[in-house]
Amino acid sequence: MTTLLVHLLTTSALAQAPGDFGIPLKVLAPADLLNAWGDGTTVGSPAVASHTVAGNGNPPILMLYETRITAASTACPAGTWGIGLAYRFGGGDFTDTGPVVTPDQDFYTCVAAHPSIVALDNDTWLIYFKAEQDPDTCNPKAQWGCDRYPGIGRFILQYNGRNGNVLNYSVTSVDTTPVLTQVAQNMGYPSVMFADGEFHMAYGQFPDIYLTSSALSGAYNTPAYPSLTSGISATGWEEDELYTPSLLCRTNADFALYAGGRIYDSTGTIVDQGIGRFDSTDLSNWTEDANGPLLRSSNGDPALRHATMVSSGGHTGFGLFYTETNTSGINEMWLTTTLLWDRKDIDVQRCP
Amino acid sequence: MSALLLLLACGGTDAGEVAPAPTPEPVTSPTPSPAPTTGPTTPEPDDMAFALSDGPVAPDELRVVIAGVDVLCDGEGGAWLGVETVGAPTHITVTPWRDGVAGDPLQLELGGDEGDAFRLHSLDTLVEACETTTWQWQVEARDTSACRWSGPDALALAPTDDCGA
Repeated sequence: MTTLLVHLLTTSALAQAPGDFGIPLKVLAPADLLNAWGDGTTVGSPAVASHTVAGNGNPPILMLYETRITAASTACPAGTWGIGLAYRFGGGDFTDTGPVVTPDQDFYTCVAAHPSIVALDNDTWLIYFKAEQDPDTCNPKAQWGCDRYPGIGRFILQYNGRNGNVLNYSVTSVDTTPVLTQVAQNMGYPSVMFADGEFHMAYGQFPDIYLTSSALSGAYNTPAYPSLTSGISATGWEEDELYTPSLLCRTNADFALYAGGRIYDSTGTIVDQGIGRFDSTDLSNWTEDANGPLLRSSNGDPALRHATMVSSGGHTGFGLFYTETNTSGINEMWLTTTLLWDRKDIDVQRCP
Repeated sequence: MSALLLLLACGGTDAGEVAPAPTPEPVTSPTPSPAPTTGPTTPEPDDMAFALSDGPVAPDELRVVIAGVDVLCDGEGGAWLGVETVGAPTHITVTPWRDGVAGDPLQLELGGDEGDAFRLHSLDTLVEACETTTWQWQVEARDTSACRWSGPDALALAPTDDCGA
């Protein structure tokens, strides 16, 4: 009761029309990772889904995240990065299960990061991630070549059933071939939904957002032009960059794309960033929400990195997972939610 | 206010989550506010556990799932039929439906390598009225199966066998 009342007071009394987001909650930090995997500097890029299990009224929330494993090197200038899986049944912190992908095969010898999750059915999820390889040790005969950014990897997470109160899950190996292999630039933060018989993937490629669709999960074409171009909003909140998209389907012909926007000064320093929403019925023509950005650092909101918007209750409630750097320079995962956010009723981004 | 009273009276519906202690930065909230928490308002099991496989599993340990389906009509009576699966399928058929009537099932050749989690299976065939045909995809594995509808009448036909579109 107290929780609800506090939330009502902190959001409705002080709410700004577009957002109504409440006080954020830290949900995962590098120190929380199982067996201290990673180098302790960062957790980020959340990809979130809920799993409804028959007979369990307390569905676990699944979260894929990235963490750095080793620092920058000549071979891997961004360091080496892997992907872990964490979960929680109630509110509060996530519990980590450790790494599910670490740098390994031909095309992700340096980085497996920026995970994105999309449901294939009630108990199976496809996870995509951004890959980076060391061009000096790549396989020159591979079809994806020796670009540092060879495309996007994918693997499966599946629920295997329940033994008493234990919910069992499995992951597969990463598919041996990347998808979207013609993206040879530093793209990132793919966000994927399934709607109207196709997968739809949005991703950031500085300074814009691109979108590509495919009936098969491994057959995306590389779009020649961005779907959303930065610097078109009248309010200018995304003047210099659009990034970190979250693609959501309300129906098979009603879509929302939440994206980060940034403004840089002449030295390249970020002076403002926020999160805004665009709507579309055809995934081609997008209209910015008339209320402007939901959150904005110039309004006192955190500098939202790696933001992932998740909806619940048929797009009535919203949870925004994001990364924030603490005063020690450590990246931690946070969650801020709207009043109607319901962690037991997270929407599945699958609109047949 | 009435909505507020209703929510309070009902104990809420697992409303938005708030931090248990003051946090370093506000989100769209210019003044700090106390944030005590009393936890969830509905009874929940506190002994649920989560177990993840110890390393990656082989495809034949997965329940078979259809990842995607695609039909490419060439406009001259020919078509490419493709289905992407997860798991280890042993038999795949696709049945054309026109005007609510099923045609003869077609068998797709199994593709990909058995060790691959993602496998693409396809068939080049002749199809009457390809663009207006609805397709019922059925994938069998050792002890699991999956199905899917695609095409113009998919949403109407999907409820007939609970396969989904």
